[in-house]
Amino acid sequence: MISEMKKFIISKNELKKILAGIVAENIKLIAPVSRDNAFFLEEVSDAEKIAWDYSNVVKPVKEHIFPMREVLLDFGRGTDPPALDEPEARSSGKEKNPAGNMPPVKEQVIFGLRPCDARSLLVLDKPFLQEKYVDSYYKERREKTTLIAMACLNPEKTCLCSSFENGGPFSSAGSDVLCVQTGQDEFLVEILSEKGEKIFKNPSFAQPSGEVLKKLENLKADSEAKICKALKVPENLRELFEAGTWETESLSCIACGICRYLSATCYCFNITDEFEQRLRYWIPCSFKNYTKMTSGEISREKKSARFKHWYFHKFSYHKDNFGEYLCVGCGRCIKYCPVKIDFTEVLGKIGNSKQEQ
Amino acid sequence: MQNIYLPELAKIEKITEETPDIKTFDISFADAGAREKFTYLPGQFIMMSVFGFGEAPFGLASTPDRKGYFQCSIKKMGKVTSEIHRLDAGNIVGIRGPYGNGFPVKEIEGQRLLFIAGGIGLAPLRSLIYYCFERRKKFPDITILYGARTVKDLVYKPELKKWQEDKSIKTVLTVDPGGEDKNWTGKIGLVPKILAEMNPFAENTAVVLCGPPIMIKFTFIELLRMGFREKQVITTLERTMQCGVGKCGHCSIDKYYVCKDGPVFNYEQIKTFLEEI
Ligand SMILES: Cc1cc2nc3c(=O)[nH]c(=O)nc-3n(C[C@H](O)[C@H](O)[C@H](O)COP(=O)(O)OP(=O)(O)OC[C@H]3O[C@@H](n4cnc5c(N)ncnc54)[C@H](O)[C@@H]3O)c2cc1C
Ligand code: SF4
Ligand code: FES
Repeated sequence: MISEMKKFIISKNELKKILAGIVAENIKLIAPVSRDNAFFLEEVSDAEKIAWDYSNVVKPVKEHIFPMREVLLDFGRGTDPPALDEPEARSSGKEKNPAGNMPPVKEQVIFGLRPCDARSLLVLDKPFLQEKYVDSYYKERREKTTLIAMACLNPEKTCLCSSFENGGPFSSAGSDVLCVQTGQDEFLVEILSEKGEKIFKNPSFAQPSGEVLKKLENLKADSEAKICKALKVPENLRELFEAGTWETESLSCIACGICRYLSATCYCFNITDEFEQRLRYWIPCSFKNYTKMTSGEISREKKSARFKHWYFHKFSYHKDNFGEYLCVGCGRCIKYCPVKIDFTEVLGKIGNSKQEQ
Repeated sequence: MQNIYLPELAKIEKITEETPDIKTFDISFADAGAREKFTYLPGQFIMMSVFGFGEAPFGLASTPDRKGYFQCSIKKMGKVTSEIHRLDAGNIVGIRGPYGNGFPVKEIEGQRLLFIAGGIGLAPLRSLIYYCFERRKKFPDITILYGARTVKDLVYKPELKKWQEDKSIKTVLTVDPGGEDKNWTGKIGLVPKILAEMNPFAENTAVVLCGPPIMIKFTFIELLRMGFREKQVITTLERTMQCGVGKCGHCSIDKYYVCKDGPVFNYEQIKTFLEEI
C-alpha cells in the first residue's frame, strides 16, 4: 500500500541528495547526462553529473530493460564441446539463476525519463510479459527497475504524446514517481507505487500548498498547449493497404532503420550464436534480410512494403493483438529521420488517398 | 521462472539418409523428465540448436503417439542445417518447443483426407498421416499424393513402399518429368497435373497441402478449379523465424505470427491476409 502522503515538495538539493543516496546504496542510477551536445540516459556515479535542462534524451528508455545487444545463453567459455552440451553443466549452477543463463541483474533506478518513455514500458509489457510465453530477460530487468519520471514543461515540436489515451507531458502512466519542476528550486513529487515509496522514504517533506497545486495545473495546461502534433490514424487503414500513396511516400526513405532503433516501442530482434554465446540484438524491419527466408525469397522485398509494415504493425496489427497502438508519441522517428519523413503526415496523406484495388 | 530461450539438451539417437541432402534424425531428451513431458500435435515444430552455430525451426515429422523420442527430417540449406548434417549419432543438440498451433485434428475428423506434399513438405504431413493411421475409425478414407523433383529426392522411401502396398489407403507418387529412373513405376508429372488426373471428390474432403511455395500455389489453383472451397484446404506457411514464441517479429504476416498463430492455416484465413503468403 502506498502511504497517505503521496505528493510533496522538495528542493533541487534534496532531490540530488536522494539520488546520491541511491548511488551510495550501490543501486545502479541511470539519469540524463549531456554528451556531444545531446542528452542520453546513462549510468551515473555522481548525482552532480545529472543534466536538468533537456527536452528529451536521444535514445528511448527501452534499452535499459531490453538492451540493444544482450547475451541470452553462455555455452561455457573455452570448453570443447561447449559446457551446455553436458547435462551436468546445467544442473551445476547455470540454472540457479531465475532467468536461466542470464547474468544476475542489479537493481536500477532510472531518473529523469520523460512520461512518454515511462509509458512505453507499459506498452512493451504486453508482448513481453502478458503472453503465453513470458520473456524472463525482460521481466527480470523490469522488476528490478524503478522509474522516476520528469514531466515535460517544454515539449518539442515533434512530440505528440497527448494523442494517446493515458499519454501527455504530465502523464504518470507507467512511472513509480513523477516529478514536476514547479519553481527554480522547487519540485513537486508524486509517489505512484511501492517501489517509488521505497526511494522517498523520508517523511519530513512538505505537503504542497494549494498555491503550488494551482501552479501545477497552469504548468500542465501550458505544456499541453505547446504540443502541436496529433495522431490521426485513418479508421479504414486496412482497406488502404493497396493505396498507391505508400509507394510515393516511401520513395525518399533510405531504409536506414533509425525510426525503428530510436522508436520507444519497436522491439524486433535477431538471435544469433557468436562462438560460445547466444546473442539477441535489435533489428529493424526496414532491412531487407529481416524477412529473408532460407530459400532466398524475401517476403517484404520492396522498400515500400517494408516502409508500410512499420505503419501497419504500429497502428493496425498491434492494436488488434494488444488493444493499443505500438506508439507513445515520443516523436523521435520524426526528429531523427535523415530524410525528414513525418509519420503523422504520411498517415494523413494515406487517409486522404483513394482506396485502390 | 522458466526461460523460454533456454533449450533442453537432447541426444541424436539415429540418423537416416533420406536423399542426398535430407537426413532424418531420431532425437530424445537427455533428461528423463523432459522426455516424459514432451507431447505435441502433428503440425507443430521445434527450434533446434547446434550450440555455437545457431538455431532453426523444424517440423516434427514423427507421430506423437510414439513416446520417448521424436524425429525431424532436415534438408541441408545454410549455416545451421549444414552443421546439423555434420552431426553423428550420440551428439547433443538443444531443443525448444513444441511451438505453433498444429493441424486441426478434431476439425478434420470424419472427413475424407487428401494429403498433398512436395519434396521435404512430406515431413510435417508424415506426423499427421501416422496420427490418422492410428485412428482409422475417425479417418476411414485417406489419399496421399506425393511428388519430388527426382526419384532420388523422395523421402521415406521404405515407408512409401509400405503405404503403396496398403490397400486401405491410396498412395500416388510422382516425379517431375526427367526425374524418373529405369525402375520407376510411379507417375511422371508435376503435382498439380497428377492431381487433375486423379480428380478427387471435393465433397466432405479436407486437403492438407505442404511443399515448396510454387507447388502450393499451382496446386491450390487446381483444387479451386476442381470445386474445392478455400476452407477445405489447409497448409503450413514458412517464414523466417528467430524466436518461435511470437516476440521477435520476423515471422509476421498481416497481424499473425506464423510461429504462434500458425504455421497451419486454411485458405479461408489466408484469403483475409493483407500480405501475400
Ligand atoms: C515452421 C517451420 C518448419 C520447418 N520445418 C522444416 C523441416 O521439417 N525440415 C527442413 O529441412 N526445414 C524446415 N524448415 C526450414 C528450415 O527452418 C530452414 O531451412 C532453416 O532455418 C535454414 O537454416 P540455415 O541456418 O541452415 O540456413 P541459413 O544459414 O539461414 O541460410 C539460408 C540462406 O539464407 C541466407 N541468409 C541467412 N541469413 C541471412 C542474413 N542474415 N542475411 C542475408 N542472407 C541470409 C543465406 O544466404 C543462405 O543461402 C521449416 C521452417 C519453418 C518456419
Ligand atoms: S528513419 Fe526515415 S529514412 Fe530511415 S527507415 Fe525510418 S523513415 Fe526511412
Ligand atoms: S519467430 Fe519470432 S515472432 Fe515468430
